Amino acid sequence: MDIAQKKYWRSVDELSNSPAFVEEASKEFAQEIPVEEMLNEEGMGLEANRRDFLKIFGFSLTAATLAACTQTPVKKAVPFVAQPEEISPSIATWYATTFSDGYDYASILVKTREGRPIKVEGNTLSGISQGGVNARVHASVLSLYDANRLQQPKLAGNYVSWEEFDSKLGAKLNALGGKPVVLLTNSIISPTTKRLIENFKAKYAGANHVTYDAISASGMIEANEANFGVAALPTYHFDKAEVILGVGADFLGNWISPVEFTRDYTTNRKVSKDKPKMSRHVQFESFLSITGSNADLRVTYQASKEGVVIANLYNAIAKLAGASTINAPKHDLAGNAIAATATELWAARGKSLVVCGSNNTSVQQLVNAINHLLGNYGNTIDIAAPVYLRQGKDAAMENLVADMNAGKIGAVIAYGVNPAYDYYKADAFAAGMKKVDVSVVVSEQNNETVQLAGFVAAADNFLESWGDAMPAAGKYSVSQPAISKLYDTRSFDEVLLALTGNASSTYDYMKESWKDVFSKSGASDFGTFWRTALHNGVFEMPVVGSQPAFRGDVNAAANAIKAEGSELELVVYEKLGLGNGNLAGNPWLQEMPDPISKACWDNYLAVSIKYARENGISEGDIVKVSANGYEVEVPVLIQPGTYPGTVALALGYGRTHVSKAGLGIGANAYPFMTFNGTRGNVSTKVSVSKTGMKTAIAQTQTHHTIEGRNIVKETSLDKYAVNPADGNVRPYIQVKQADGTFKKVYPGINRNAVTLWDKRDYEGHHWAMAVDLNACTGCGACIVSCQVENNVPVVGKQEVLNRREMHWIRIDRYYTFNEDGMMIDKEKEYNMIQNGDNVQVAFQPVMCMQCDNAPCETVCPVLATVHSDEGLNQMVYNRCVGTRYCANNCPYKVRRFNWFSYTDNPKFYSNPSQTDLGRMVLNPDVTVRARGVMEKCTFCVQRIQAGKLEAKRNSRGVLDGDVKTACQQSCPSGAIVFGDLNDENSEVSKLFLNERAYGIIEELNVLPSVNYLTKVRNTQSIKA
Amino acid sequence: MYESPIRRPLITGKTSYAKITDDIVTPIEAAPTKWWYLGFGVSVAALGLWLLTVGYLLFTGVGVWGLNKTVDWGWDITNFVWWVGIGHAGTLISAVLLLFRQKWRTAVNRSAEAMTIFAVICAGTYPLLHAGRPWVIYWVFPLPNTYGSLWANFNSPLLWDVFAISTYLTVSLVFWYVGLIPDFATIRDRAEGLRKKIYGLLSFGWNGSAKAWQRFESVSLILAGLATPLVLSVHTIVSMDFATSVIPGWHTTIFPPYFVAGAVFSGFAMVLTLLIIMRKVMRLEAYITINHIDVMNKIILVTGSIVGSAYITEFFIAWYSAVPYEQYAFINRAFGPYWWAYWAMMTCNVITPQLFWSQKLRRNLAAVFIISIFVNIGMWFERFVIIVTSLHRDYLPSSWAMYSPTWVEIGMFIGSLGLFFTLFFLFAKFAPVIAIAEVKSIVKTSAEEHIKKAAEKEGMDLKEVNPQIA
Repeated sequence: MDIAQKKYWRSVDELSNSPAFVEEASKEFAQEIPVEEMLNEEGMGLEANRRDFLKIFGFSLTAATLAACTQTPVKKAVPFVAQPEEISPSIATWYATTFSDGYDYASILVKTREGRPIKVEGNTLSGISQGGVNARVHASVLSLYDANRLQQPKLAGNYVSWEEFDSKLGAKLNALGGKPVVLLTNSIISPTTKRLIENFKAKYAGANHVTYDAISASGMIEANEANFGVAALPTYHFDKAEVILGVGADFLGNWISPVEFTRDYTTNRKVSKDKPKMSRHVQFESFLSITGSNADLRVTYQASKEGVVIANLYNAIAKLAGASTINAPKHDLAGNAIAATATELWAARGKSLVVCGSNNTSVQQLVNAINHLLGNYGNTIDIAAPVYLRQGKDAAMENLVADMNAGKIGAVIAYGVNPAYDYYKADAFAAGMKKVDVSVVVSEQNNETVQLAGFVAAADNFLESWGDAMPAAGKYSVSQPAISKLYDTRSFDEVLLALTGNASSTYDYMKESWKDVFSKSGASDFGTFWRTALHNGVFEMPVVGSQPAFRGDVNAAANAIKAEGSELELVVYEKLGLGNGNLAGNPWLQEMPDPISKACWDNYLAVSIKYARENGISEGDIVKVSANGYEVEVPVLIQPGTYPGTVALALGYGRTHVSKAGLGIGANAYPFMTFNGTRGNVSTKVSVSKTGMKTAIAQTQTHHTIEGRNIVKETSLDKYAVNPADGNVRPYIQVKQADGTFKKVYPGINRNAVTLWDKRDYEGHHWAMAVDLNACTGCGACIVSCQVENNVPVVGKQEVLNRREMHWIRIDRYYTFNEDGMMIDKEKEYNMIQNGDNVQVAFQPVMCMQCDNAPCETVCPVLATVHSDEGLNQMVYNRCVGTRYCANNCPYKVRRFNWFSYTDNPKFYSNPSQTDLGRMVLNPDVTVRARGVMEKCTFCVQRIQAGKLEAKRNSRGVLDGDVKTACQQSCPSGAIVFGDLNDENSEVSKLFLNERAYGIIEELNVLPSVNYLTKVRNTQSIKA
Repeated sequence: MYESPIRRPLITGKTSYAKITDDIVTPIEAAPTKWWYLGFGVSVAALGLWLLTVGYLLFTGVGVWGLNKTVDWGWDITNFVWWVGIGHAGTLISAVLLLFRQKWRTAVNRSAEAMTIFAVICAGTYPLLHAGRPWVIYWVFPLPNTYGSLWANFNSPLLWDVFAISTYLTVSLVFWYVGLIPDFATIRDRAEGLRKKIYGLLSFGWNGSAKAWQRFESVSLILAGLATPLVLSVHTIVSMDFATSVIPGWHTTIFPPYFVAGAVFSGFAMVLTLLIIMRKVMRLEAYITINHIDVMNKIILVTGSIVGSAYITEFFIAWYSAVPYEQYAFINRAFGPYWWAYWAMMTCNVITPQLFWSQKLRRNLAAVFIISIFVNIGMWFERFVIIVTSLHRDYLPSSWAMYSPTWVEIGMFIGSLGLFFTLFFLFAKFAPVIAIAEVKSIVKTSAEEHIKKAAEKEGMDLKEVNPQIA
């Protein structure tokens, strides 16, 4: 069937299909669109065609695409293919190891998280550091992540492989033509390294080992050699000493083994009702050290008179002992202190101790003689148990530099030393390095000496390598790597193994040397012995030996003592932060306030009040200091407690090749050191002149007097013995009883007795802290420990000047002046001070008091700071809007505000968390705080939580001592006790009931959860 | 008609309803004068500085200010309290004086209220911008949220502040606007074209009927009743920002009355500063007469004396309390490192207003202008003294520190003055600076010409009717 398709025409035009219609129909729009015309209108003068359109279109599209692509950094997360056995995410792994850099020694535990070392704690099993760690060792963990580290061996400035390095160096060392090779190292206490050095000496004929300590104890070592035939330092027992005299020896600060001494010293400084006894500490010094600030009696002397003071002391004691006196110019200190102290020492003979910081052999011989007369050897001093922490003899270094310059030395292999910076004749050393045929520097960090070396061997960080140490006879400790090597580096042991052609690994080699220790240990199985030592980090055995007899010519020593001084003398000294300057690139140490001056990020000339007044110098004036043909320009800090004719300048600053944080900080004081058989730290004939310029010294505390306020409570030992609550008047409230009588209520004791608030019930725990002001020496280890633990940012000098340091714990330091028997503790009386060298110092660590009635909590509009049911005042960073009212309303001023974004504002380049490498050190358990939020001490809430979890895992309650805050754990003197107030038997509960316990400004009734124990001074009584 | 013979006329010179309308509306209709352009230009420039400094602050952090761990509030809160204080005169004049039926208020209430609103806006910028994280400052409002039971802290005086200031701003704004409605209608009625449309919209279709006037009067009265307690409550609550703390120098029960008196004191001083210029530039001498200024000076004298007594009382109580911290705080104010701020405050706030005991000085424009500036400065220093000198040395001497502002804080302060004056210039150009309708309501009783006419009509001796005119 034919299906007819009907056609419908839409129009007549279509039917006729005229050419005009066809053309019209092919157009999309019936009417012409006047595009050209439109674009040619006034103001649109664009001759656009399709191509232009496409160009513009293409361009805009690309531009828009590019603009929309904010480049998000690509971060690669590589999962473990096989989960390592030791690493569980979020669970810390601890390794026992050893820190030893020839200056500080500590047996430590290293906390690693996900394979990263993040924190150092003291090893309580060590008989030397006894669980204490100083600020430098705390901060050392950051050196691992320092951008300034040498990452690869270098030869003449070019990176090479270790193979090439070994072969070229080996060839050079074998072609010296009879000139000796010298190993120049710091004090090596590692038995393994010592063995390797012996091997090295055996392989390279004529090779020599010179030990160089930037801060040497050469005088003591030589004196002991002369008097006892033992060329080493003795073991001191400050805990056994009832009367201690320090003469210029900063044994709580930097002298030899300060952490050990602090532990020992403070055990005998803690008093209790049952034992109202403590050691008596007398300190003679020429500028204020932390040791002097802790002394019961402190007297200043002219720096150059140190020998004369010791000689007079010898004579005073010799008279009492009936021994013959020596020839010495008669000299006594203010208040006949030498004679008086001699009497005290004599009365406590056998239980006394005299230590002197002098590096002069003759002076140290007299000190030995004094201790000998007092019968201290075998009691408070043990020369039969020598200490090897300082081994350098200054003459050896002096000779080496001379030989190097004379072209007698073939090769120098330097390790762990930086004489190009810290030798007093650094220029001579540098010149000598150029004259030796082969110069090798084995160094972890890029430093001044590295610049002089032809061969630069990039060394491991101590956390990356195996090693061991014998800091004292019978005391061994092990180092083990806590992380695999970050870079292509070698430990010094590995360098020596390679140079001696020994193919064994350091681990095997070291294990081999421990067989020797094992043989002496009396243990039966080496495997067990080794594993135990590795686990414990230490192996210690008693040293039995009789004290060698004292011999020596006291008169000759006395005659060798020179007494000439000058009106103005300069002393160079080490600070608790930077020490010898080795770690000057460490921002934590740079920002750690000096315990005495509270200054950071600078060194300065400390002058006495009297000197400043007489010479019209004010604080911050930049002066030119010159002596021994060297001069520096440094700002002045007026330091109470300085002998009027003495000015003091800290070592360790003015580094030129160091991490960015340490660059351009302060001036180098090492060239001011002198040499007279041994190196000395006193320069006479000093001139100080004003340059007319002024600068500001960044201090975290600028008000130095206590204004008569009852904040640091003090008493004297005799009063304490009579009344343990002496000096501790606590505020009370008269409360009306039902019968109309009044009763005294002590809010600090009967917490919650008088309160506007609902009574707080702490049903679980009630965390609290007690700080013994008698034990705190003010060393500042807690500040750095807290900073590391809690990711506290480093803010730099300008922000410290702006009074915005971020430390969660601070140590307040107050001066009280004794001017002719009048006590001055108020600012307005300051002008009456004439001398200012007779100063009494009080330290008080202040952290968040975690008040039960916290004033910060009520004022926060958004509930960003709230009370926990365990008594903690919690800070909720995410909720904080940053009104800062809480900080204003904190009577203790412990709150810290994030004024800037410290993690990415380039102004704060010193802050470790600004670089990927530096961020490795952050504690993953603690939030890094953002800009605009408040922060403060949390009582280490992450540790509390971890302690509770651990207890729960073991199906038990939290025991006293399970939770230790970072400050408590690091405190070398055990001044801080943390625990649960709800547990009646906890140490902190007992301390809260101690007669000496008090809270700061308790009268506000904020109920601080931190109590302090009154400071007891072993003085006859405190003049009011 | 009876008019108390001791009352001075409140409108001088020739008066008629038409003339009043002309006098007040003409500046709005005419092109701005070169003085307006100059003033507005300077204000906008300062506002630019504000934007610049605020931008820098928001980009970098509060650290660009000079605050520190001890002094966490400085110029920010000083300026906040200063601006809030200035914002007090307007509502006092329009609400309290309305309730007390003070006729002289009619000439000044409009601009005083405008000043109040602009000052409160300036004040409001500070709590917002002083926060570390201003982008989450809305958390201070008790908003429903997804954080569970998270809520604002009703114990915190800062929260009370949020409510107090926002309520005050809202009520003041409504009160001010309601008063503007009949006046906008007057402008509308004289206007043409677009202007007529805009003012028509702004006047909400005001038709001038008796019913409209009756409602207007009722609303004004109700709003006056609502605003009156706010005059007292706002600064009371602002004072509690300090009084509820534990800081010596802040923790004081005298603060609420002392702050309210201080606020009225500073508010009137600012009103005078502005009006003395405005009446001259806009030729409003017939409406804002020397008599008005005299009356306001009396209020300054009273409140200034209250403030002075409060200063002395604080010192007495500090001594009487025997609390060493309290005593030190006050001695430190007067003789510590910030002594200059204290003595600037004492001179400007206690000594200068006492000059107003002299009628000669009260009626001397130059003297009044200078003294009003002094009071403004003095009241700024009062807040600075309370905030900074109390904080910088509180309990533990170890934390004592000094504070000084940076260029950013100074720039923001100048900038906030720019914001204030920009708004004020816009107001003076586009809205009637004197309440036309209200002024008209007193013509029959208080205009000089009408009193004269009335006396003539009644055949009475002008001396008898009003000796002040004769």
